[in-house]
Amino acid sequence: MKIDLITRQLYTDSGLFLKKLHCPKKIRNSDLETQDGKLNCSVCSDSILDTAGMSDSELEDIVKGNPQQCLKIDLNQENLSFLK
Amino acid sequence: MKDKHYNPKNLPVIKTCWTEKDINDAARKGYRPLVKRIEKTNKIRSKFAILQHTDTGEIKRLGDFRQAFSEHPDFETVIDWTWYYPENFPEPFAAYMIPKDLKAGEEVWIDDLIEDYVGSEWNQGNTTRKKWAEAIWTGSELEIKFDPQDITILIG
Repeated sequence: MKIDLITRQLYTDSGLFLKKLHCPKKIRNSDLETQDGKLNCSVCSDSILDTAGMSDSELEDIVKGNPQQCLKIDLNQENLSFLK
Repeated sequence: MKDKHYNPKNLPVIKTCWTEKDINDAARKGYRPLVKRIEKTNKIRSKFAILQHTDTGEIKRLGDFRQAFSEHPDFETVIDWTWYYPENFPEPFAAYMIPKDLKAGEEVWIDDLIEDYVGSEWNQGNTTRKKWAEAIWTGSELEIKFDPQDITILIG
């Protein structure tokens, strides 16, 4: 998975566009709640999927199934690199 | 003013030495150096561009996209925006100074990380290196308990 830190656009390692990270509420990590092992937003109650450890194919399927699905990206997670 | 994220549990602090001399000085004082290669990640980065005056040859270094090239008449771009690793180390290795009485399982605070972790990012793509972290001494290694801060987590 690759991210353009300036545009916040997310891509697979092969360059396929996944989605642009955008939260109108500007939610931060500290605004997330864990319930039954799942992450939820404390403001809108939507589920947030933690992408650490996910494969590109898993992410593709998720985004295809629900383009509005919120994702959590940790800049230090191992499956993430930065686009120039 | 003390940073609220610095050693909140008031754990024993592990110091880092960055040169052969300092490592050996600490070893002679009774510490056991835990030596590490410095491995640079391309996730730590800054950027620059260089403009040059067309007549005098003098240069300007830019670091912020808001310093638009068009705002510098009589200058031309000689190096376009370029990412680079901004940190410098005196050696390609460093060492954590482990007290000889430190027990396996003990929690400690690493004052000056050798490993590269992103500590913060800026919406122009720059990132900075994380300076410190909590860790557990296993008896032979320091397992860093990385606690992601708001500033390194993106949600959307």
